[in-house]
Parts: sequence; C-alpha cells; structure tokens
Amino acid sequence: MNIFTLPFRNLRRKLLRTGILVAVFTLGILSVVLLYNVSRTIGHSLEEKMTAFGANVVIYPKTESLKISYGGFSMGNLAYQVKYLPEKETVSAIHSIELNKNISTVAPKLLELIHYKNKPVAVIGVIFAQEMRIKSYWSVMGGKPDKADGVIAGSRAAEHLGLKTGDIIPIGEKQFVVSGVLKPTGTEDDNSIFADLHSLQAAVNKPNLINYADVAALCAGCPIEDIVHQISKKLPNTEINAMQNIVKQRMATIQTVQHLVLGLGGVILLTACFMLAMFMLASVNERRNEIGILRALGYSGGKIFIIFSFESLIIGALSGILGYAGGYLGSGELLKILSLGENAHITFNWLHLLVTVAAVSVLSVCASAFPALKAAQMRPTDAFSRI
Amino acid sequence: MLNLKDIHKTYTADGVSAKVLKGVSIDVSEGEFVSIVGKSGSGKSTMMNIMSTLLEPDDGSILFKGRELTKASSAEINSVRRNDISVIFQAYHLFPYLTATENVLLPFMQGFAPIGKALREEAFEVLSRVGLSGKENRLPGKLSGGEQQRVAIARALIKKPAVLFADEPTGSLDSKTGNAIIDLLKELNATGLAVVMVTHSPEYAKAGHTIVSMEDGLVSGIEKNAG
Repeated sequence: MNIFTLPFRNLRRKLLRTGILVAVFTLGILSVVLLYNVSRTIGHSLEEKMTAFGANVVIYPKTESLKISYGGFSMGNLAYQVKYLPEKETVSAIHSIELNKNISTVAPKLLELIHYKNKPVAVIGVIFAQEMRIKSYWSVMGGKPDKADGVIAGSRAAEHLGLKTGDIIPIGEKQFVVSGVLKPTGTEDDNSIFADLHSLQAAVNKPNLINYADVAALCAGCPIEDIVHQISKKLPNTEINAMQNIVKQRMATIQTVQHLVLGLGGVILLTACFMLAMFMLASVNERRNEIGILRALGYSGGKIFIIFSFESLIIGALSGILGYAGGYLGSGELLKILSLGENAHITFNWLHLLVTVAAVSVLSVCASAFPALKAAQMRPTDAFSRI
Repeated sequence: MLNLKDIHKTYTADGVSAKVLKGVSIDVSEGEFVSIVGKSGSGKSTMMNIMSTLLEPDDGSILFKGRELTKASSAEINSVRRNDISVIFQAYHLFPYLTATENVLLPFMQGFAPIGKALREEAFEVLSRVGLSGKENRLPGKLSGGEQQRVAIARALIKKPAVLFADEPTGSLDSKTGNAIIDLLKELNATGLAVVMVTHSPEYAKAGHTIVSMEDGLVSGIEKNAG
C-alpha cells in the first residue's frame, strides 16, 4: 500500500464510471488511430492510382529548342534537331538513384515520322508493359500486341489512314501488323501509332536509342525536387521536367484528407478530454469528505493533486493501449471492407504504441488538472461542508 | 501544551457576516481530558476545528508545544496534522473501499514506498486495543456504527498523537455504544493521551477533567471535574 492505492481502489470501486470513461477515451484514441491508418493507406493507394494516370517526370536530351508538342517533343524539331539518349543506360541510371523506391515506372520512348499511303504519321516506340502502367485509361479495340511486330493505332490516326486490325504498316525495313485500335482518349495518343520500342529501334536502325523517358514517381514521403536532383546527377546531359502541378495536386489531395482526419481526431479527443474533466470534477465534489480526511491526516495539497492526477493517468494509459490496439485491428478490418486490404501496409509499431500511450496519459492528466487542483486547494473544513 | 488566546472567527456568506467566536481562550495540558459543551451555534465545533488546525482563526494566538501555529507555513501545519494531532468525527469518515486495517494505515499511505510489515502489525495491534480483533479485513459497510467509530479512533491512535480531538464522537451512536466510546476515550486518556471532546451531552462531558461551556461565541464557564 502506498499513495497509489487510493486511486487504484477508487477506480475499482467505481467500475461502471471507470468503464464509461475508459470507453469514451478509448473510442477517441481508436478513432484517431483508425482514421490515421486508413487515411495514410488510402493516401498511398490514391497516389498509386493517380500515378497510373500519367508520368510526373520527363527526361529528354539537352536541346536548344523549347518547342514541344508531344510528351515534350515537337515533330517539326524531330526532322532537323534530333538528339537521342541511350535507352539501357538511361533506364539503369534512373533506377540507381537513392530514392529508387519512389520510382514506380520508367517508360522510354522513340519517336519516328513515317508516311503511310502518302500521309505523314508519328510512330511511337514504347515498352507496352510500362506504357500501360502509366496509361491505364487506354482501351484497345481488337487486341493488345502479343508479338514484336504488333502495333496499336490511335483512334484519329486509324480513321485518317483507314487502318483496321490486321492491316500491314511498313516501317523502315520491317512490316508491322495493326493488332488493335485505341478508343478515343482525348490526348495526342489519338493521332499516333504505337509500336514495340525494340522492334522500332531495329526497323529504323536506331538500336538502344530513345528520344525521351517518362517517369512516374511516388512522392507521398519525398519531395519531387529530390528525385529530380538525384536523376540529374546520374544523367548530367539531360533535361528533366518535373510536372509540379500534377505532383502538388496529388500531394494536396492526400494532405487534405490527412488534415481532415487530424481535425476530426482533435475534435473527438477534445470531447473525450472534456468528458474526463467533467467526470473528475464530479468525482472531486463527490469525495469532499475523503479529501477533508486526507487533509486532516496531514496529506499536502500536492499529494491530493497526485492522487487525482494518477486516477486520470490510469484512465489515459488504459485508453491509450486499448485505443491503439483497437485502431490497429479496426483499420485492417475497415480496409478489407473498403477493398483496400491488398494495398494496406499497416504494421504494429511498439514505438507508436508507446508514444500514443504517453501522449494520451499526459493529455488525460492535463484534462483533469483543474479538478485535481481544485481538490488540492480544498481546506479540510471546506471539504466536510460543515463547521 | 496547547494554548489558544483571544480567538476570533467570523463567517461571511452571501454578504452576511456571522461572528462565531468573539475572543475565546482555552488551555489544554499534557494528558488532560477537556470537554467542550454548548448548544448548537455556540461556536464549540468552530473552536475545535481551530484547535485542531483544520480552520484558521481571523485573530488570536495558538501556541502548540511552544510553536505559534497562526504564523506557521502550510508545510508546518501539515507536519503537525501528520505527527502531533488526530481528529475523529461524528460521521466517522472512513473510506468505504478500504478495509478496517487499511483505513487505520491511511496516515502512512502518503508516501511512494509501500507500507511495511511492522506497520501492518501495529495496525492489527491498535485495532485489537479498540476491541476489533478478528475484524481487521472487513470493509466499513460490514461494521456497526460503534465499530466504525472504533476504527476511526484506531486510525487516530496509530500516529501516536499528543492530542486527540473528538468532534461529537457519540453523535451518531445509541447510548450504549456511545457510553462504550466514552469509556474507550477515558481509557486512552489514562495512558497519557490528551483528549479534547466536543459534545452536546452534559452527561458525556463529565468524562473530562475540564468542562468548558460555550455560549454565543464566548466561554461561559470553565468547570474542573474532580471525579
């Protein structure tokens, strides 16, 4: 038995009241942990999905010309000032940066101008697997190329040139077969023909050469400037354009969700703190006689403060543990319900648990500071309410 | 040992002042049994609260073992409450969630270190002294009114105080149990413990060596009891 016996026994005696307080506080913590976990996971998932709608970094050779019309390139420029990058070295350099975990997709491209039925058209050499990752909005009528000589025609190009599935297009020294036609995308893709990058390189005798590379970078936890800086160090003879607006938009979306969650969590916690303070104030008034006896026995105001604060601390610590565990388990379940379980990476973190318990304990002690102070300042005769 | 001189106390509530003590002086010697009697509103309980340091006077002097308590710091007052004086009340004021032994040990629960075996045995001994052997682990709710008052007396005694203040200790008890408590206080006084008891009963007041009568905030008479 010591000074902590009294708060422990009192909490045990008032089990229902203690239970309600712990439940309210636990609910507050649980909501914050759950919303934080879910919003973070959804944020990552959202970013991955948004990344699928396009690249946010474009890497191309250093050039004097700034005229760009397709993915950073002007077809007019291509005829006179074409500069190339080595494909393998460029892709390898991009993947070798420190922040390579944030590199989602690298899509190198070679652009060629050809004539089909005496009409000019741009042929874009791509690696279809990479291209499809950053252009998930593509929908192909017919079939995706399953052979090296397969091409996909943009909707307007197909209409303009009278192309249909199975048609043969001669490019350089090779014959390519139209495997499918893109449904209209509303982008420059509608005007072009897409061929396998390596087949195109071989057909036009430009082995290992590309005009530029699209890079999709995940930037929830990193500034895009760092990625650009690291790539430019690896590829000094290139120009790198970070499409800041896209990145900022993505970050802003995630930050808005997180701010909303923090705000909501703050309101819930504030309500729980207010409830705890009210309960403790009621408890102080209810236990005036006890306080009076303790003061008459020589307990100082500081000791009375410790007794009441320790009660709150126990409630806070218990709620912190239950709230964190509940939030951890609940967020996993909620993500399953939201069908985001596959992308969820919620891990139990002991440090987070400790920080949560410590923070909630401090918060609960602060919330009950006023009632505890009131108890500490009570004179014995005030407490007995009779003189 | 305890000398109160010219004590004044006024209560003010809702702008209305009531002068409860108008210059009261009382002396308590070592081992003395002092009874304070008077009607309701005579100021006897206020006087006892001031004597036992639970209430501060507006004016006057309180000398305890040569120390002036009206000028003492709160730490010094706490030390006096902790070591030198004990108070028992009409309503016992036991903690309902602590056993009889734990209630007795309450004065020693102020520290962070756990209470040792020696103190526990001392608590059993004090409970036995007040006639509660075998009831050490009962909660107050399982004890009669007289037994609860005995637990309160045991809690007061374990500190080995110089003075025991008793505010209407028989007020909530039937006459038989009340007589037993008075007998217990007399027994304790016989061992050298000074007792100051406030009572409305002239019969119980006779237990004291000195009977102080109060009326309208003043001492109306001091009677020495030879018997």
